[in-house]
Amino acid sequence: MSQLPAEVRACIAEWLAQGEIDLFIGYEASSLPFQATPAFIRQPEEVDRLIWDATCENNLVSFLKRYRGQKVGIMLKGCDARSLVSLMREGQWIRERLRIVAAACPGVLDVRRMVELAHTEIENLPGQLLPQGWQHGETLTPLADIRHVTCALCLQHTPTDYDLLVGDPPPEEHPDSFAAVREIEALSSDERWQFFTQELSKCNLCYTCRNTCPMCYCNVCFVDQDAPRWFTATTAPPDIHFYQVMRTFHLAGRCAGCYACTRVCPQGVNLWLLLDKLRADVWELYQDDAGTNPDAKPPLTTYREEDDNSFVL
Amino acid sequence: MPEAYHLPSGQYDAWLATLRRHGRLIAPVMREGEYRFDVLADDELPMLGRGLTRRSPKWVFFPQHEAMLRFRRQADDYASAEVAQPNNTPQVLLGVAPCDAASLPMLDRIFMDNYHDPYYAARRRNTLVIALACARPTSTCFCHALGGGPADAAGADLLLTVIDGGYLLETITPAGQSAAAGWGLDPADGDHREQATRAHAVAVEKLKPIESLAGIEAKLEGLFNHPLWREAAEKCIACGTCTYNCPECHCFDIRDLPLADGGERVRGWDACMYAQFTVHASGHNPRPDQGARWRQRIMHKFSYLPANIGLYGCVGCGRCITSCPVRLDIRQVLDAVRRALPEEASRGTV
Repeated sequence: MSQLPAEVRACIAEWLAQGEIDLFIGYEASSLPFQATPAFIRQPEEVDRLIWDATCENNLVSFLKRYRGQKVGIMLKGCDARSLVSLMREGQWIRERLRIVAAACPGVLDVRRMVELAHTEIENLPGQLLPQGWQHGETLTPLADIRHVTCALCLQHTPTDYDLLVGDPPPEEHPDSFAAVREIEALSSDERWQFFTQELSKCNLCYTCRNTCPMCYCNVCFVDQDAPRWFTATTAPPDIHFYQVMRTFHLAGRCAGCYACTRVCPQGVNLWLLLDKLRADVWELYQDDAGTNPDAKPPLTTYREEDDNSFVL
Repeated sequence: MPEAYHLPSGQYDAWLATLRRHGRLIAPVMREGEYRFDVLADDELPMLGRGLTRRSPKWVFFPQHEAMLRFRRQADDYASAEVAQPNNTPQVLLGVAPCDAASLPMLDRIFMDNYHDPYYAARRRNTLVIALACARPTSTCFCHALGGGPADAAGADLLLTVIDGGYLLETITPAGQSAAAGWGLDPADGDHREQATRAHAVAVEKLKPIESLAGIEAKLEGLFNHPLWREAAEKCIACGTCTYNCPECHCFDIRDLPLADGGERVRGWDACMYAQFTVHASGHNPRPDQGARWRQRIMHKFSYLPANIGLYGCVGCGRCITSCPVRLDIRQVLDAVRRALPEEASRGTV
């Protein structure tokens, strides 16, 4: 675990002491190896708990909705910052109420990949994290082999708008982020059905994806409404499909591709494939990327005469 | 002293075949990259001894959802309704960890005591539970803080322990005794028993020293309005993973599932972590924030259940710790309970 640099901690402590922020949301060590946990810091003397390294996997933007009206400091990776942009362009938060500590992020760990390599349990992962990778026993595994699969799709390693920066920004890679989507699009309808049925059979309807998504901020989610009740919440495939497809559609033009849902899924469902399909469609139809410009209007809230309407029946 | 048999590796396959004749075999296997309990295919071998499965096997007795009533639509009316019958399929649940087995006496009290649940009871009655002594306690295990242990066979019918060249099979219940009597195994000798005892002791040695949780219900008295609940729950994102993966959590909701020609009344798992949990018809929510929901989780497991049935609602398996997407550790919340002073509680309005 790497403590935040002293000057960054001092600055956060100063923000708290001066009342520039009421709360700082960052990361601290958890009781499990190679996994950080969200930290909520309100006293300047608590800042020494704060860390930043590849174990800081959660997207903290999803916590912001609880602190409306407060001034908040927050630690953001590049992907998290994109989701904040989407939140801000829906008028859910304003920049003036935030102090942002940006993390130059080369990727976060997927402890399940580490578990496979070390043949052990999550709670017993051995070794330590070095700049070159993960040293366990005689083996040095490079970060590329143990970072989360969605980190290979990284749209932005380092936030572009921040008050403080931690780490050296790695070069942005600009991968072809929709390659996987096109691969699936090329399959036949039956093959796609088979693929997604198989993938979604892992889902156990715990709602971790929804609850970690910064854009899932409805006061009452459609699956929880009971008058009328839309959703029976069984783990029968039709219910699982209904939930995941409806959640995905509800994020059309809003999902910024932070992939937090996929990283936290306790069942390892590759939710990003569904969401990237929507992002690919929105890009193709409206040339909009939800995670870049906080001043842009979300595409589904605007109308232009030349908007594509080929999909309207 | 319970009866004990020797199951040498050479007889293991034949023994599995015997189990399959007894009923459908449910055991830990790899599915979609997940180590979990599932119904085995006819030629499939169980994968025993790889630690805890990600999810507990409680679904074998209490599935995540099940129909209790089926109704059919005829013309414009719901003309017929039929109560779903309990499932009496004989089953063998093999390779259960002692902590998971220890959850069964508690679930039995919930579903088969004051209130008799025919669905749970039928599955329980028709399932032979064979535990496997735990040989690899990990850093998140705290069964020993709750009176359990790596070879504590409460809740199981039989207990397997890995010994040189096979297993020692001990019978625990009459059902286990009568099943094992028909398997044609040789009785274990003193050496087999000694090896098993040694294996149990080695596993106990691996457990981290931990303060006992016995008596924590007394400490929880007077902490209902303590600020610790809100503090502990601040990072909780209110998913239900901890409760779903828990072998003891048993809250459920009943809903109607509409189908093309009628529907089903289904019972499905619910979770105290959800905002909608026990919300009243008026819209009033007795647990309006996540702190209140975490208080319910801890109080239910460590105060209400001990008061009502004399058993804790936690076996210390640690699944809620290893599966939490934000790494909220229940042991730390319980430590906060230990440290909390009741006089701090009066101000709080969690």
